[in-house]
Amino acid sequence: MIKLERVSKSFGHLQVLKSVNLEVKSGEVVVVLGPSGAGKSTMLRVVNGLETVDSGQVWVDGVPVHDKRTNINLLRQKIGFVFQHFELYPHLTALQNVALAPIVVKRMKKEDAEAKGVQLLSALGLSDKVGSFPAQLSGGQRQRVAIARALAMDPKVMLFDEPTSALDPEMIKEVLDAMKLLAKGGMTMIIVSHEMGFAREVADRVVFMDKGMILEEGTPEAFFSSPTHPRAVEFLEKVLR
Amino acid sequence: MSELDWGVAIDYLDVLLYGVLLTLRLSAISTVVGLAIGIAVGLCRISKNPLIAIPAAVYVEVVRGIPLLVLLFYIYFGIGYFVNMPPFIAAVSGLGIFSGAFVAEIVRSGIESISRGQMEAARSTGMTYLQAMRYVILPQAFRRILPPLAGQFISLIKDSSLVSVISVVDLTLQARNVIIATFRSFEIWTVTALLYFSLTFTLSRAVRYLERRFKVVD
Repeated sequence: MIKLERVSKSFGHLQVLKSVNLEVKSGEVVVVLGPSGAGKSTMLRVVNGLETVDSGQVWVDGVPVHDKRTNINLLRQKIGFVFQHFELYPHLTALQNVALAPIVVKRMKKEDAEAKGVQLLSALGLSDKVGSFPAQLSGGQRQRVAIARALAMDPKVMLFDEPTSALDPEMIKEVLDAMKLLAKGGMTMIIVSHEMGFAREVADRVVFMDKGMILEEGTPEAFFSSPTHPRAVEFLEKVLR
Repeated sequence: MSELDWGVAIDYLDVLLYGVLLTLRLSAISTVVGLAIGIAVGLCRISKNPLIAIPAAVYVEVVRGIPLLVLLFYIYFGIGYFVNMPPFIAAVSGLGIFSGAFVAEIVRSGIESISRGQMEAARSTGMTYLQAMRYVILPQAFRRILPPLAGQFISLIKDSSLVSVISVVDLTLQARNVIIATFRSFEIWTVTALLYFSLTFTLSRAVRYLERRFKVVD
């Protein structure tokens, strides 16, 4: 479903991705771990073309993302993206946030898009927040609205860029629960996260990155109980205390 | 010194109000023209393509560097030398082009004040750049630039008094005509000043109302 082949990327003199290879099968949930500055977010952002690549190629559902002939707007409809800082549209209500892209991009009728929006928000436990503006919502509620906004386009894959890092501790669970629900539903997901418990419980595969490279990958059981790469060992010692 | 005669202002109020109507019409049309030019040029200013961005920057710099009076003369007498140029058309063009340059800078700064993440979020759902601009960035930017934009259009109403020199029969020219007939400069200029103030003050209150109506908490 998603395939990265020898993807390299630099910001100025700093090489953030060094020939990264990764394949994610349909329905698979991959959690990407690693210290900050490892290139995790950049890797996620090249998958939906928010960042360009210097070399290599990324395929989503068989379509090359970084090819001039690819209609990136069409391809992005298949790729939901959830940001660390939510990035909800502050001038629109929760429902309008969710319904906007289906109306504008898919030319869906307003009533249909809103009916779908209400359904999605309700499924995420936000049926009473439909008419609220982002500023009136808690962080956890905002992130769930953001998830609903991404799902409204019926994506084939969902990318999460540290979706709980900007949340207060007591709000993390509601967002992780929403993501678990998605994983159970068979959604293909790549999640950059620092939530070790979530990775252990939900991930089909864990990928460990550092300094622009994937250093280790495997099942959560194998990775957490017997990591092999020295930097992965060091990282786990730090985060698991 | 002769007694003040405010009755003159009442007698000629209809003449002055005729001028008010023209000033209003001229300002309203010039505002629309200036807004259209300003949005277009403001969007060009933030383009990554230098072939679009540089001409827009040149337009802004050149127009901001020329006095409005000279711009009006240039259009009415200069360009009017080659093509038939009715005073009202010259006035609207001059004011529109002039305020367009200032609006462009306000629009540019407004768009740049919206965080990059908003554009990324919109694009990530499959919107094109223009769709993201129209539905996500510009609505937010407009709420933010409403106050400076209002200031710009209040200036435009006041600047429009300059068009009296290219024989557009606006409030200022009507005031001068009334004074020629009555020699009552103090009374007529006082009333004229009050009429201008009532226009700009009404606009400024209306914008205040809009600001509160569209307030975005973030």
